[in-house]
Amino acid sequence: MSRVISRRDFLKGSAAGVAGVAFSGILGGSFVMAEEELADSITVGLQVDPETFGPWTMAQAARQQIMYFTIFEPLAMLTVDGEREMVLAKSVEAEGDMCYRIELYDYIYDSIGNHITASDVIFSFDQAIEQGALSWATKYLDHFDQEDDYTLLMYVQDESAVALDMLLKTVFIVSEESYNASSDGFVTNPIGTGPYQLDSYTSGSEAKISLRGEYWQTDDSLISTSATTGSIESVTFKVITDTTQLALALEMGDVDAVPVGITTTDLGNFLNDDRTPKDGYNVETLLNPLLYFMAFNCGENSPCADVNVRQAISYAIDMDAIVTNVFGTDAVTATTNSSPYYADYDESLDEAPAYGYDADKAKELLEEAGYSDGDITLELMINTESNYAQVASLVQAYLAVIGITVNITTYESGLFTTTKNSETDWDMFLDCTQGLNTPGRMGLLDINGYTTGANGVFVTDDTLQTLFETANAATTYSTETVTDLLTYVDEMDYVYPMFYQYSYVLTDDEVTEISVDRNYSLIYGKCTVLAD
Amino acid sequence: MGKYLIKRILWLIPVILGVAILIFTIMYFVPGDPAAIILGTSATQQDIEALRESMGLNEPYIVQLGSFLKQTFLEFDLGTSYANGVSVSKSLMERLPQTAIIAVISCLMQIIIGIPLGVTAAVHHNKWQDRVSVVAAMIGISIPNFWLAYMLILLFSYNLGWLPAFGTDSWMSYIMPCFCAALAGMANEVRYTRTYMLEQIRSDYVVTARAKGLPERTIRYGHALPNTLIPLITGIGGSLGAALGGTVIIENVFSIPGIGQYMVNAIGNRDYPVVRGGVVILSILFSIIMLLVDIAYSFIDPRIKSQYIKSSSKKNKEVG
Amino acid sequence: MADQTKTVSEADRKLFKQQAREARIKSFREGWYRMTRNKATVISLVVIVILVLIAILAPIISPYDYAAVDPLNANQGPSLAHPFGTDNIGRDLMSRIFYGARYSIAIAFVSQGIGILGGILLGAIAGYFEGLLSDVLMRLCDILQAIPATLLAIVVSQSLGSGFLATTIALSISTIPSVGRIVRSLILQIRNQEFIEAGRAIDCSGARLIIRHILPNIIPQVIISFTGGLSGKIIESASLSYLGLGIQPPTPEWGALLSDGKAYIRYYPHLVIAPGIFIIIAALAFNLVGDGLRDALDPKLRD
Repeated sequence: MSRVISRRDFLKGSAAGVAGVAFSGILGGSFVMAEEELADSITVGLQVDPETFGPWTMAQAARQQIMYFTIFEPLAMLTVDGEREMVLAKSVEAEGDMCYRIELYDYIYDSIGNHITASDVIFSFDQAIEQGALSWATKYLDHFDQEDDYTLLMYVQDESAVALDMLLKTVFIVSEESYNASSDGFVTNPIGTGPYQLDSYTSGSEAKISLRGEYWQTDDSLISTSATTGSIESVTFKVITDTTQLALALEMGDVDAVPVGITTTDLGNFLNDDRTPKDGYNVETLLNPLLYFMAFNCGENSPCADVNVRQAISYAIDMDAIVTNVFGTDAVTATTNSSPYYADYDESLDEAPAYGYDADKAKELLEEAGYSDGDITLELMINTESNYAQVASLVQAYLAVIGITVNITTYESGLFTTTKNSETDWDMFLDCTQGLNTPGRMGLLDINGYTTGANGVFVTDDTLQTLFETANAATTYSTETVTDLLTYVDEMDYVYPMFYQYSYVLTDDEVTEISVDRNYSLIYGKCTVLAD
Repeated sequence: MGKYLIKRILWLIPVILGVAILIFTIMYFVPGDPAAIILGTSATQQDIEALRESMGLNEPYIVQLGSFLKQTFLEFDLGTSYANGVSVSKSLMERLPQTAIIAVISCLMQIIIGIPLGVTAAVHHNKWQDRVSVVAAMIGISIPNFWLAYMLILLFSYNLGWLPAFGTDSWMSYIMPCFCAALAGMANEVRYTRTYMLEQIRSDYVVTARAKGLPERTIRYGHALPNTLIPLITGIGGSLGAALGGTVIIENVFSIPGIGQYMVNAIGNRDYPVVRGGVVILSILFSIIMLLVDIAYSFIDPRIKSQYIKSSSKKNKEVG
Repeated sequence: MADQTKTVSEADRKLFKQQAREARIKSFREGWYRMTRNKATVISLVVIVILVLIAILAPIISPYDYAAVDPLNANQGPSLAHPFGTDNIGRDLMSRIFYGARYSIAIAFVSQGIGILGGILLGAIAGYFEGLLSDVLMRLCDILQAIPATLLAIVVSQSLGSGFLATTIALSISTIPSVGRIVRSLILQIRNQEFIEAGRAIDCSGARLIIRHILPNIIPQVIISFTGGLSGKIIESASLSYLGLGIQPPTPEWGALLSDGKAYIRYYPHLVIAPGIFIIIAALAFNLVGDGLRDALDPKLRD
């Protein structure tokens, strides 16, 4: 009774016509070297339902796996190493200050044959801003000028270092004509320029994509990483929301790969302690950009307004022990508010944590701040994700040692997000953020993001703000300025860094070669899957 | 009778309207900002404020309520999800079948298993059949269904590998969810059936029938059972309605893409249109089921009809 | 003339008050006798007393502090040192379950109490004052009952947050209309009985009538509703915790323990089995006592 969307009608003898023929001429030549027979399909387990295939909805894990760079393509993308790679744009060059010249290929066609020109790019950006995916970018992006059918000038109004790449990679370009012809704004029948198209989608349970017949980029040397087509003709996605069951599906062979969603608890079934895969599995390990931290309420209502108290707390927590205990080898203690994931990270910061475990020093600092044993009770706010509760319990235990009583209050995520803005409801909270670079993930400390005159931890600190703006601006963004910012934040201890995790793209051993992009999406065309 | 029916049907309108207003009001006062949730952790307050404005969240309560009611009941449009822009009614309709399958099958299980067990217990009052049924029923209503679900998954999926632990791929996938959803209802059905049946067996007409020498079998199944079934109908209708709401948890355990799972996610995301739409639609379904039960009930049992007529004439007298 | 009426009514009042009280005491005494003859009810009552004692004495009888972490002894199965094992940061599960009894049992009693009180208030008003007020209240009940109970609890719980009071209110909402209806119909029955007619004839005020004369007569029904619903509240509160609403980890409420342990179910099933068994035991005991009370106090329903 479920609604199934069939797009076979559009195929007319392309992928459908060759279904069942393992090696067909249109698939490119990368598989020829393989001696074993290769599978032409792969099943991927997803922990969330994509819900929609609209190209400009907010980023979401399942949609990333299914349609990013497979169905829809942006002007350019970032490879897993952080390099810019052209996709629809032939070139992107700076044209004086605050302006970039973007040239498109002149032979781009979407899956129903509509031609993509410069006006479609402008249309797509307008839509992205209107539909919310790009609302953050309105302060960077000024406007476009269309020079001819395939050339645009993009004017920006801010010199943030990462804005350009963000803009280029975030906005998927579609044909205005195709979009207007769609009855529901591509929600269920996306039409993009990518090598794959959506075959069917059953809400909440399954989606299937398959190669479309003629991909517009015919020049193999120009084809982007994301558009590489190997032997994989079709990909089936199964939605399994319970994480335990997701792990089980991989174990039982119900799915071949799980890009995100296997929790620490279940990892032991697939990985050894040294993160090498166990028999029967393969893994691609990446650092996760998310960095977990504990923010202090530095406003006058909280005892944490005193830097000595903050430092006492930081010294009192044995983060290494917490990490080992809750995550095993799945996480790494952060030494500062950044991690090696970020290109601007100075590896020397790795050497010593800003606040190593030192309970005696913690007690001294607390006394210096004028508190004796049992004087302080602090509210620690967490959200309902289960790992937080455990970390919070351990933090509570460590702080009890130096005489600080901690009350843990759990909010579900919606309420958590809004309670953070209240100066009187918390003294500390646990959270995690990510960004394209280090300053990008530290928006909590940027006064400009708030209307109250203080930043997210209720600090008004000119030194901090200057350091932040220097590190964040394109012209002055560098490892040095970022390190200056990090060192100052650590010194003032506004935010106590906790840990970062690894992400694992797990597959069974039929997938002999795993290739992933920066979103931990499998690049299906670059994976090698053996036939059963 | 016709007048009663019409009145009863017309009465649904203000009730559903009331449900809509109630749910809107609750969601309006729910702390937590949908705009902040949509924009995620990296958003600034200014971004959030701008989005709130464009979503119409800054309008006064009464304006928002008015436009919600107008949209829902005059334009029959439940709006689109904040999270993904998909039409709420479309998503609900896509997900309704899964929820309905579980609700209906678990209801059937209640009838097919619960009623015979209850009858057996009553017929063998105070014998081992009775005790086993009563104890089983007692335990049945005391087990949290999601806990039972995990225990069954542990046994049948992890250890034995007999049944799929999630999804809706085949009919096998529905066995555990339906059983878990049905358990408490089944247990209640046993208890009710037993009580009603005992009442009947002890009633005067049964004693008379026995005295007249009617065979025990005819008394039990020809007279006592049909009379027992009348009150059970309300129970079944009620449990079908309850099952519509109660599968929420089961759907979450078994990763079944039904309305319940959809709504629990939506509540977490402050996706107001989805929550409101879901509650309104489920309440309409629920009310219709209860209405049908009422109608069936009054057709089967003339006493209800006469009671209604009596009470309404009494009311009229008082008003007059 | 007026004086005369007053003296008569004074005597009358005393008389029917006494009669009513005697009847009540007699029926309670009989009820208690009947109840104590039922073995299952008595055993369940003992179980409940034990659970309540565990809750009250948790700090004394728990072998460990419920929040004390002991990473070196994490994820242990049942042993002498930890009869129910430990969780993944080494907290003693038995101590957590003992402390959890405080939350779970208190939530059941308080939420059921709020629901019953709300229901009595609503039913009493709707039952005594016929007309517009009564109609409005009953229609409110219709509206509340048109929303499936689980769903209502979920939505209200979300809107009120995750604290103890919030959770109890969320759980009590669905009780109010059904109890209200029962109370109202009882009152409608009772108000036409002689002694109330008498009370009305001698000019008792409405509120006084309800509180002094009508409510005591519906106490058996109220007790039945109260105990009958306790087990449901325990289970519902666990379900809310499971969905990430209601009381949340690290608070050791039984449902929160379940939701905390569910990620480890394949590897350390004791984390889910032990709190689950306590929920079942408590629910079973409440159910049996509820049944026993019903049979004892409402002879019509006896088998």
